[in-house]
Amino acid sequence: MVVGGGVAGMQASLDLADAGYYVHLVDKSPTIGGIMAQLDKTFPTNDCAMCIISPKLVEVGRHLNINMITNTEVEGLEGEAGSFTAKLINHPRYIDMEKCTACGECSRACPATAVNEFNERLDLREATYMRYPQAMPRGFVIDRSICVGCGLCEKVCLAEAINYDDKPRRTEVEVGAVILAPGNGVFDPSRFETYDYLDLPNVVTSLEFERILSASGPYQGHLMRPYDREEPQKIAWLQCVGSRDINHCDNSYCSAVCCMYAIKEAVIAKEHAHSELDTAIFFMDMRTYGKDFELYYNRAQEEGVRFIRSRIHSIEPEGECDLRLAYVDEQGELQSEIFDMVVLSVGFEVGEEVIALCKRLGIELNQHNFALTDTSTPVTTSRSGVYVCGTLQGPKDIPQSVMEASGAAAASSALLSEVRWTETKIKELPEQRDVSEEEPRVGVFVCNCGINIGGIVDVPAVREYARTLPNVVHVEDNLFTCSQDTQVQMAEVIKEKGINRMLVAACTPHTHEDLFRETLLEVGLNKYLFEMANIRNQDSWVHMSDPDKATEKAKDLVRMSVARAALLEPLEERTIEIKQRGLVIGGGVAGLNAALNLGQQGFEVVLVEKEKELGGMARHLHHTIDGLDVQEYMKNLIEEVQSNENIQVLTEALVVGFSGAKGNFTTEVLVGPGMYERKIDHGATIIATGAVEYKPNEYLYSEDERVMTQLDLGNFLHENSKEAAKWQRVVMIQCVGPAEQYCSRTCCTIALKNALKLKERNPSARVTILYRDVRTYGFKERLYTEARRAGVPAPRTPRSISAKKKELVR
Amino acid sequence: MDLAGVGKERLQLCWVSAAEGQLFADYVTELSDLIGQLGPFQPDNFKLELAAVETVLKSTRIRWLMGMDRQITEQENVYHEKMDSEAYQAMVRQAVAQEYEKGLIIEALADGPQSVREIAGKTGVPVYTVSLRLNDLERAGQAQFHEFEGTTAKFALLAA
Repeated sequence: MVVGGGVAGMQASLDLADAGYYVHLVDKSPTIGGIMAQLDKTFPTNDCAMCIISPKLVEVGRHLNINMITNTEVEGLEGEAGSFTAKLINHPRYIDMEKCTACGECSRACPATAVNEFNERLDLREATYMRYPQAMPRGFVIDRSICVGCGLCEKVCLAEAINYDDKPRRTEVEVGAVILAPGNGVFDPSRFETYDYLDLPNVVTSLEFERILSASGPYQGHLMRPYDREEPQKIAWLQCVGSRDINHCDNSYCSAVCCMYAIKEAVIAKEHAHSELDTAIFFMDMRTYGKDFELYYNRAQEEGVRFIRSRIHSIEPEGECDLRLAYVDEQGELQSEIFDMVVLSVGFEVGEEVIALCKRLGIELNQHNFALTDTSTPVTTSRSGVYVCGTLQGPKDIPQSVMEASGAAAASSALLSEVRWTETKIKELPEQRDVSEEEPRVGVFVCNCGINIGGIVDVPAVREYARTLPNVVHVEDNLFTCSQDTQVQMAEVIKEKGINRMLVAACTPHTHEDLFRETLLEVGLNKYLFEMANIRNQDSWVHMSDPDKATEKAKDLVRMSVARAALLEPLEERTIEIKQRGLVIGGGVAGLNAALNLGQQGFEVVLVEKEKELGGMARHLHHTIDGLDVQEYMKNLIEEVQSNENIQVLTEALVVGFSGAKGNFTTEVLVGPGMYERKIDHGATIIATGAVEYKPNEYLYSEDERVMTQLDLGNFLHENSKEAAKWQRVVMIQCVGPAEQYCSRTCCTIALKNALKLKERNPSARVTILYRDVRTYGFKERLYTEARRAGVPAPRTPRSISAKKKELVR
Repeated sequence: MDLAGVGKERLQLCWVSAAEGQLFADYVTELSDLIGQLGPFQPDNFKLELAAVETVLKSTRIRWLMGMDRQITEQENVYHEKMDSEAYQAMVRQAVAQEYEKGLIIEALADGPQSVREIAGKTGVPVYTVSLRLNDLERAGQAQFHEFEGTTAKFALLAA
């Protein structure tokens, strides 16, 4: 069971369903998709968020092995790992999803309105609504809290899908493992009196801004501010709202994504604006720590995004609707600027409902209410058999969430591997008929889509026109081509008339193409003998004011599609044998864990390590910031790997050759001092070769033993603790070497860790850290707080000076 | 009528049967006095407002809500529940106010594409309220973004 259908929940579900398990995907909302459905673009690639998850939404929706259970919460979880009983409560939708065709008439008629939470309260929605257009499952739902029960929607629903007598239903599912991916909400800034969020319409949260930028949002992607719909010329972002804050709230952690998303919003806003847009980001530390994030930051600066290191205290209203910000700049001068709009970069916060859910499921939470996990088992919760991924595990971005989801799926798979493929569903289909000798016989099915099409386009005329086209042997029109009874009736007609090419003139393929292809499969025809003409989204919906022209266009579209349909050939999906063995290259922490999980999942694994010893970089580490004894951990991990009978470990092995394709690779390896050759056939490869610590040329590193790297320091503290305790003055220089181009992600944390260790051994020692930003993201923020309390001064060193400081005077 | 600034007293509805001649005379006298007090009414001064009132009266939403009032507050709604009359009235009033504001905006836009501020100036509706109601019209497919003039967005009516 996967709880939560956001991007992490969907990924975990797909991974497991494709790997041979049946998945119950439960979501509290009427549709899956989560927060990502609300975002416009994602960093650092500026990809469109909906474009990325749409295919996943569709895949999840139609996957035979995924049972989507929406509008449902988990009330309880009994049992233990391998054998749980989950108690679910299904809240009524009042709309029968079997009958709903998502035509939208109910919503158009509904007289009751409420604020639209999907658009972050920027606009209104009806009581009968679809959360967003690409919702999965695709259908409407009635919000009882604002519905007055007037009965109008039932009157206008031609599919007779409204069911006011719908009741809550309690069900149970038996599952072997549970993955929690419920996600989080964001901080509500109305708590900040000095930001006056509730009274100033042009002060918005970052999520509201995403909706403003979105083409599917309230302003169709035009950059406008809420008060007067003017395009702003100056926008300010205020970072760390509801995070790194123990004054207005208890969220001392760093929300890990806000720096990047503010940069993204500024860059995209500039793209949308068609006059010069001044964007200013007010921050404390710029945490662009991930892969390619620094490049993103640099590019933003080149494009003119201003970065001002100052935490804004208040927002003053200026004039009718503008906003004044006062701040002290880095030179100590008081500045004041007027902006047209202010965006509050709100952090992740675990909501009351999720806290209650975790309590019901017996999952322990950390002090910030995120799931309590261990450094060495980051997706395992306090309850055996229940895994966690995504933002409930900790604040993180989309790539991290997706990776963790796959991790949680892999962990679940290791637990359940014995019962793989025992509960998966297979569809029994008839033999496909060979149509190669036949003339094309096209069946044209024109849809009225209630009144969505039929109300504008003259459907009977289009139907009769289709009858005149070459190769057409059957025409008909239906009220709703996608309804279940129509599938049955179409199947009969296809068999009766020997139709071998099917054309549906209706909505977009995106909604029902798969359904119609299924219908073909069920009558024994190849599913690629199907064609669709979009006479709704591309016709009736956009030419509502001109029914005559709309009808002519529909005829054109149908004529084109009939011509194409006649040329369609059946396509075969091939099956390829896959070698059931994995190759892992690299025996460090990552490689060992990967190999172990594959082995536990029941696959053969060959682990190749070029050194004599396994362990990689971890051999040089002692304790993590959470107190994990690394050497102990590695010892146990290596033992587990070596004793797993599915895993073969080859040390002192070099990869010398590689060939093949996905599912069928061959890798040549030279093993041991004897260099004997091994040829390994495998289906998948995991590259975990890691990286090493940069050994500097600068700062007299190789010339004076008093100049060391953090790794050296870590070892020194471990082996020569007494010596280290004598040191009076220690200076740490951050961002050395390659870290001038990209952020190495770990150095701020390690420096603070070691600084705290030094202060522990000698409280009177003066430890100074010269940095550009302190990038202790997520829960690592506590190290920064502790260090400041311990008296570790940390003066900022601007980049330009860093370049000159390559030489240290002895 | 109140929202439009015309005043609700200018609309009177009385039930009189053919046998209640005296009642009729009393009503007429009362009305004459009232009109005397209220003074003449110049419809030309209320063109915009009256057009908006007409929009409200034609609105399916309002008609349905008003039509279902007694059913829902005195008997039961489709969920077999009775809704509190005051709450229902408050909801209807809010809906009427929203539809009236939308009506004003539609009437103002009949002159051609305008910005939110221009519409606010013409109709007397506060700027932010125009922004919100205009959004409702966009959602319903009755209005749409037309073009930017510099940084000012202009909106236009969509053919029904």
